Amino acid sequence: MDTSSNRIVFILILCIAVGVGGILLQRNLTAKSPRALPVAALVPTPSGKPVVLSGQLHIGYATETLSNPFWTTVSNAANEVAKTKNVTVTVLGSEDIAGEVKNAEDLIQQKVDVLVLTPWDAQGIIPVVEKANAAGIPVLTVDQNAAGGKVETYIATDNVLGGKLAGYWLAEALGGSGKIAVLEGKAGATTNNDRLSGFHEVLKMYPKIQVVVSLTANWKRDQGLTVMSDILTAHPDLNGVMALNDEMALGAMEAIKSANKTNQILLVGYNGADEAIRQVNTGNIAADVVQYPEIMGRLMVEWAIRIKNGEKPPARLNPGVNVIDTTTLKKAFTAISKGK
Amino acid sequence: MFHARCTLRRSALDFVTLCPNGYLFTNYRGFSSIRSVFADGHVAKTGGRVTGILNRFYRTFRTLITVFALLIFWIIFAARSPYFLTADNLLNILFQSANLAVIATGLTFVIIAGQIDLSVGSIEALVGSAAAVFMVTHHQSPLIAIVGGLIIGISCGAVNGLLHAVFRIPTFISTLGMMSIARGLALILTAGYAVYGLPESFRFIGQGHISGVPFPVFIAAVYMVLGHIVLTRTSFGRHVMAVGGDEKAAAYAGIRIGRIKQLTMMISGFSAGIAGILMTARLNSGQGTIGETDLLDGIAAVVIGGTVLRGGAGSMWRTFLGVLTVGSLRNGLNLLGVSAFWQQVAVGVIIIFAVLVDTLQRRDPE
Repeated sequence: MDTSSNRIVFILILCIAVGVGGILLQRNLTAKSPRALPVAALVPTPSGKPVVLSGQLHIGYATETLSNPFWTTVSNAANEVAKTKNVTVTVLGSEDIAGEVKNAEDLIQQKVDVLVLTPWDAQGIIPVVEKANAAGIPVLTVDQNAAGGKVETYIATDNVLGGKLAGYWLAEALGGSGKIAVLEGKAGATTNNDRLSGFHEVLKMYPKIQVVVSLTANWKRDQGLTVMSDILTAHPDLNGVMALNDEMALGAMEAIKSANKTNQILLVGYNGADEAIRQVNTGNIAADVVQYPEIMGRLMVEWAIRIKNGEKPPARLNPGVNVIDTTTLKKAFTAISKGK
Repeated sequence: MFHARCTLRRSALDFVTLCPNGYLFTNYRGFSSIRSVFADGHVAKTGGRVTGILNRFYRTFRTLITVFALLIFWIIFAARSPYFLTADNLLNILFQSANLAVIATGLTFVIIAGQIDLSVGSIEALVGSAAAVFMVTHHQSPLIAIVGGLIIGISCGAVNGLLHAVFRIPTFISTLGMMSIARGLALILTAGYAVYGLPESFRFIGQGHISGVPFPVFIAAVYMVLGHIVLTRTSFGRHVMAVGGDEKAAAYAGIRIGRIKQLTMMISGFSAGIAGILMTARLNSGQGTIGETDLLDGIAAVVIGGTVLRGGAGSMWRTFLGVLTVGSLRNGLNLLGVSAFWQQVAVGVIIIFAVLVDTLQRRDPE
């Protein structure tokens, strides 16, 4: 028994050694590091004179969870633009603020040229922003802002406007009166606050619309499902639901389907996620506030390059926002299929 | 059956305790075993692991494997990223693993005693949130807030232990319940928001430096050393090992197992509390959501180091190795840009591998 278990352990170590050797060998054959070769990249600047960047620009993007398609869209768009401009983007997803802080610290450790953040929490991210400031790394924020430290620019949809658009749409669709429920995102998030404030500001003009309950589902689909089921049980005569992001809307949609109330309740989502738009097409979701995550990704990379070339960005960059519902979506599809 | 005191007699083996009723309790190099010495002088094994030359070899071999694996990780990461083996990054690893190290220290005591504490992450969040609320809403000084928070941490641990001691609920269940309770309380305290506006002096705990060494690293190092001293050089430490090795025999040897287990749970709660304070200072805000990965990482660190989950053996050195491994793994994978999802898979695979190596080497003649 001694010798056989001894032998097994020895074989395991041998496998590890061979594996490591193989990886190292492969590594040497395809040697590539972010700063191996100086590369001339011509980037147009406002003055018209092209600037040569020696070496690749390395952008570090510490974002929220990559299981939310919104962030994968932003990251993929950023990567696509980065490829054409000879820039590398390292994307690190996280499940909470503590994980994100660790990711951002590791990016700073790698001496990225620009740090881009989508903070889970505006307060918790401040120490990391300050660390980046101290290290001389410019910081950009996407969609969620940081409440302190020096941020070069904040790239986000005008979420107050988005909330207003949603409020107008829902109030008009309900004919100016009815009972609605709100599914909120993570408490304290900038986008949450902005969307809510816009939404409520518009609703003030419709006194016959009553918000019977406003609960948080933390931006998550499974929580959207459970919270919605509970709300439906407590308020069987609900007319409308405003879910502040698409993940929650998709969860709420399932709850409404199970309760057979799809015809009774108007569900509004927020984000413009692929899946949500499909559901708007089928009518399961009544309307969706569309953001442009691809534009966010593109702006992130373009402005990172421009900031590194010394340009000063505006404090806030706005990719645009819109609202679509089933009728406008069908019109758009017909127009597209007709080749317009 | 119970004797209040056993005479301590050092021999070629460390810490040999010969009890008046004839039970011999030895603790050699992290192993405890209890044998009964009969009147005619012959010795029979009543429990615990065999302390012998072969086992000593296996334990050293096991440690070598862990060190070897750690070195392999370092080589791989260093080869693929020029930033990994820099002094800056190594300090970064220690800095990021500081709260994990503190939690793993507490978990070491618990696991050696044969118990488990699933609530460490939640207690971390609760104590951090409570301390933040003390400072912001009640305008207490950081010192009072920290003391208050740590008292809450110890109390949670005490509740865990009491549920086991008084009601015989397995610690798996009692800490499972506490995991939920503490997390809920943390979220209630913060109402889901971040509690910010902490006094400047508190920030030093998370972000200050003592001659170049970040303060959390300093705290974690001191805590681990203290833990090591308590585990190896005090009678409490030896009793923890005995209780984990064989409860019944330890009881016969005169050790109050209920009290020992209670104390280990309180140590774990206290450690989780310190980790919570460190994390809150690092984020400069009270967050009810922290600590969710720390449970898995903490158990991984203890197990990878070589402390067996069954209990009765282990040391702080092993835990330190495990903490380094988990910390390097996460940091290295981040530097390589590996997604958090694959990192989770990696940690799980490493844990299974580590326990597998342990099982292959197990020598249990009983």
